[in-house]
Amino acid sequence: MLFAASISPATGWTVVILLSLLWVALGIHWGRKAKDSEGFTLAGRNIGLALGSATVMATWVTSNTIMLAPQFAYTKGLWGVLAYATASFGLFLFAPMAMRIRKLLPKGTTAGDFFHLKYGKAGWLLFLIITLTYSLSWLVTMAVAGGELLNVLTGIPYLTGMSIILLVCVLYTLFGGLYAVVGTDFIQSLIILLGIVVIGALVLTNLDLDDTHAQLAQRQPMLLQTYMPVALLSFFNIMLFGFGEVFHNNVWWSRTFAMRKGVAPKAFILAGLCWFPIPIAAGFIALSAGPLGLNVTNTNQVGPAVAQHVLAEAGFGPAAGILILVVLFCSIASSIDSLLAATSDLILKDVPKHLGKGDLPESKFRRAAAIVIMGTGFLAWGLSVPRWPLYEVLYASGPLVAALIWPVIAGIYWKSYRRGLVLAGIVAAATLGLIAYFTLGWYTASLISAAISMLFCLTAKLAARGSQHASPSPQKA
Amino acid sequence: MAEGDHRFRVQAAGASDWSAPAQVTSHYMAREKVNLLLLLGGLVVLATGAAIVHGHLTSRSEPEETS
Repeated sequence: MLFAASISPATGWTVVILLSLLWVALGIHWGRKAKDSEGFTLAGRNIGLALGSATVMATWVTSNTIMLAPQFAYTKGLWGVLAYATASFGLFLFAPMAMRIRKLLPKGTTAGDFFHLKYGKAGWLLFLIITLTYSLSWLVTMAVAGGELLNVLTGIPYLTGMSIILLVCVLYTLFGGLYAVVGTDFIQSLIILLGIVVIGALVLTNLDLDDTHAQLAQRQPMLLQTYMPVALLSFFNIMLFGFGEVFHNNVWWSRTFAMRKGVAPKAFILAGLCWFPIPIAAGFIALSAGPLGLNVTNTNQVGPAVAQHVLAEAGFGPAAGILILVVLFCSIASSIDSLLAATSDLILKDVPKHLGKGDLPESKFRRAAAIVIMGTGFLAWGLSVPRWPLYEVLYASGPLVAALIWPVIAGIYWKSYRRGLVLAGIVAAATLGLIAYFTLGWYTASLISAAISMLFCLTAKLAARGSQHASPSPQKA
Repeated sequence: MAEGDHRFRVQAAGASDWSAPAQVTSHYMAREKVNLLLLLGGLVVLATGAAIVHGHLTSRSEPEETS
């Protein structure tokens, strides 16, 4: 390991316990604002621009942003850096869509409401299967990453560290709902941004850029190539994967519904602008590994390894490991809490409503919310214990979510289209995208899925033009 | 690295022995396929952006749905 056990276990435990107590205390404090189910799930539909953009940005910064983006840069060069950064484009494009979503569903609560409204029960079920697969695999990969990072940085055993991170997030989400999630995201986003800026600035002061370029050109020339096929293909694939993730998932839809009128578009754009430079900074940090003389044996850890090196050179000492631990803990927690809240909202709100049982009565809501949040957390814990490579499931969910890009666009903006064709397109796109994933490579799967879904949706629109029976019947959300 | 099978071995500085050779097979996607996929990716991304921009411009003056 490049940076194994850089903090003593005692220090690691102290930092983890202090952070955990802080988040849970804040969760309990902010949770007092949630007086009813709408307060708990949508923070009273009153989130402003600062909290709104911070929660969007923090949720999108995951351990992948800080660990995978450097790996991309280290293995795929400049295009790898830019490819990862294109995941922010989904936030930019969702901004105008958020405006339209609020008009279509002024009292909407979940993304499931939209799919049920536009595509009926069949469409809603298809959406639910895809989104739960994707959300759960994302949640589990974050929990696994948390456990592994705590183990590598502090020596805390994997099972203990993973359990602590999940337990902390479950607790403050349980007590505070979306108020707690958004509030803690705001603080976590500031910590993440500060950490990246400090580390990036230190890397810059330790490097001579001309010398760095010369060393890369001599020792790793492929990283500077403009035509590197896998990097170029991953550019569009990651962008479309990002579109699919943001356009369909309840994590973003719930924030859209939770923000004050007119805030969501600005919040998504601001969050995208703040997020965009983070993978670029992380990638730049990784590209400096060679020029700094670091021997990288595990590309998964190149980002934190370089960060620790430059912080140590700058005289940070043990604080280097603590800073990296705090930034990574925040990036993981900010995603886990959002996933817990959004996934439990879907189950609490959508399942009884769209299966014909009606809304949960207010008197039963908090108890049901507690059961669902704890159940989701426990399920994620159970799937995280064996450390299965569920990141493979997450990557394979790319074609699944990419298949929903055009159905969302069609439902939001088009007045008429053949619903059956759109749904058939989702199934075809997801299937063929998965085949591409295993036969052509991961860097083609979301691209192929989105292309097939687009074809079906455009056909659905054209087919509806000549028919009077083609407009989808709007149903109550 | 050209397509096909390659063998690598390493030797510690100052040592006389070499490691056992490691075999690596490199295989590249045909350039035509790569270019086709790149073209497809660009088209899908542009079409997606255009659909959203067009949808936004045509719907922004519509009132809120009553429900």
